[in-house]
Amino acid sequence: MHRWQKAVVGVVVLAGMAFGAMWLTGNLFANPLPKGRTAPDFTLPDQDGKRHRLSAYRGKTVVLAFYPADMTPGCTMEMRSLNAALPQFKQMGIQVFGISVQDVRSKREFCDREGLQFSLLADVGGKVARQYGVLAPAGIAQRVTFIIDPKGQISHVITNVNVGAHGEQVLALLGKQPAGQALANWKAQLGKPIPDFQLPRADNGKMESLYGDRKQKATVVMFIATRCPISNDYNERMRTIAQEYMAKGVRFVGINSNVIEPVEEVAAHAKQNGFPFPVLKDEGNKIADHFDAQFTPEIFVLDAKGVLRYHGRIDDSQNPANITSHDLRDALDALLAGKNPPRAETKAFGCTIKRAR
Amino acid sequence: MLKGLVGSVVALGALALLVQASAKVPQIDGDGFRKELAKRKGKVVVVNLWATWCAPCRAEFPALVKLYNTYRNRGVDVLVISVDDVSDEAKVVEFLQQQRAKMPAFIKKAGDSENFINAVDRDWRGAIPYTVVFDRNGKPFARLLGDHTFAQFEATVKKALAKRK
Repeated sequence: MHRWQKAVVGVVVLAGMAFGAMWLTGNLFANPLPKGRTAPDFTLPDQDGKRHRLSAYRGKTVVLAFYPADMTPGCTMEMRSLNAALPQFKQMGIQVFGISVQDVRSKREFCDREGLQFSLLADVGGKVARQYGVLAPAGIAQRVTFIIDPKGQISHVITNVNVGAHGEQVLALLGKQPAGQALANWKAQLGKPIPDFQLPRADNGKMESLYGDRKQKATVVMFIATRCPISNDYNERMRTIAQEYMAKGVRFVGINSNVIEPVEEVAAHAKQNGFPFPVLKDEGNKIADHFDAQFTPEIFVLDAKGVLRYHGRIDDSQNPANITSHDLRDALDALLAGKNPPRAETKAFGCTIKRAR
Repeated sequence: MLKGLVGSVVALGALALLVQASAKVPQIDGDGFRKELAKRKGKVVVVNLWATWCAPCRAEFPALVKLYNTYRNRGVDVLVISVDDVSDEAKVVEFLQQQRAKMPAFIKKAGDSENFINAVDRDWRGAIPYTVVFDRNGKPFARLLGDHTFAQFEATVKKALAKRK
């Protein structure tokens, strides 16, 4: 065979594989019910075997999120994201269902494993998926979310599901606001979940979400500065603690909310100090306001479910030689061992975050 | 004669330098702070927390000096407490002299920061610059986070003075 013949065969095989994958998941033949149609009624069991009839939720907005399979990576991210937004959904009186063709037992396992606090419906056989026009030829549901209004009519059909931030995506549509503003009023509180959000990375401007791929066992949010001598005293410690605990499955995110520190300076500072974590620029200090972060370095630790479990300092001395209490390490060690941090809140001196006036 | 004069001037200068170098700022902890505040009952007390490493603290310092000089005989006292490491005392002294600061000044004693922070004000999380204005009964009347101008300090002090006992 000539080289060009091999190339042609290669291209044909690759195209065939891509086509096959699209055929299996049905994205090629997507034909979901359009908005404006009455949502077909159904009764299905959830992970506890409890039966839910759609028409019983008339008067409420219902989010019906079809997904291909329990416990697969994309679906896990999508369900975690919906789960993280549950407080907002509840506040707005919105009922959320995940739905796929696997059975009740599989749903139970999925919920237990991920700590999901909402109902996953078992559409075994895919009858409901077919009624909604989202059953793929392989017999599994396509990833499509329907929003059903209080009168039982489909108000939104989301075919471009953003698995990492689906909760925000749905909330944004319901609030008729751009993403981010739908969650305008949240405040960080110990023992309460922190909703996901996005900020641009200082180094390349790309949007980075708080929770990333949501595979982490805990998330550490560090408000830092380029010009604060105390924050700078901790650069080395932030780098080593992050390296050590990232290896244990902890996610670290640095946030710079200082109006006087431009993004280029923040990027250069992060590079110079070899930070192994993304540093995000919080223009207008909106995120600092949500956290009520006042100074640098100020630390917030969230557990695997995004619940705020520790707030305060890295340790009790600016001078590494005089440390007697390693508060951030202690909090992380406790969370990784499935325990409560020994202290939920600590105080230390720091530089006031310079906010936009 | 001239030689003697030059000699005494140099000696005086050296003495002044020596005095300056050996000037002390008293150290204070949480309990010490409570005592200092209690001593001033009946006055409005402005307590400013600062450090030599803190740029906005240095920037607002002249406003505090002016506040003290303007209101010291009008029922107001101003206390400045540096949270610098005690090993940096010389820097603190130098800065206070440079600012011609005559108000009572302290430096936080080494050791537990949290205890001190809570003794000054339970609502304070440790960010500086931080200024608490205590009313005549020694209760926090206003909290100013970040740097402020003389006009802002003065307006707050006037309100605290206007408050009935």
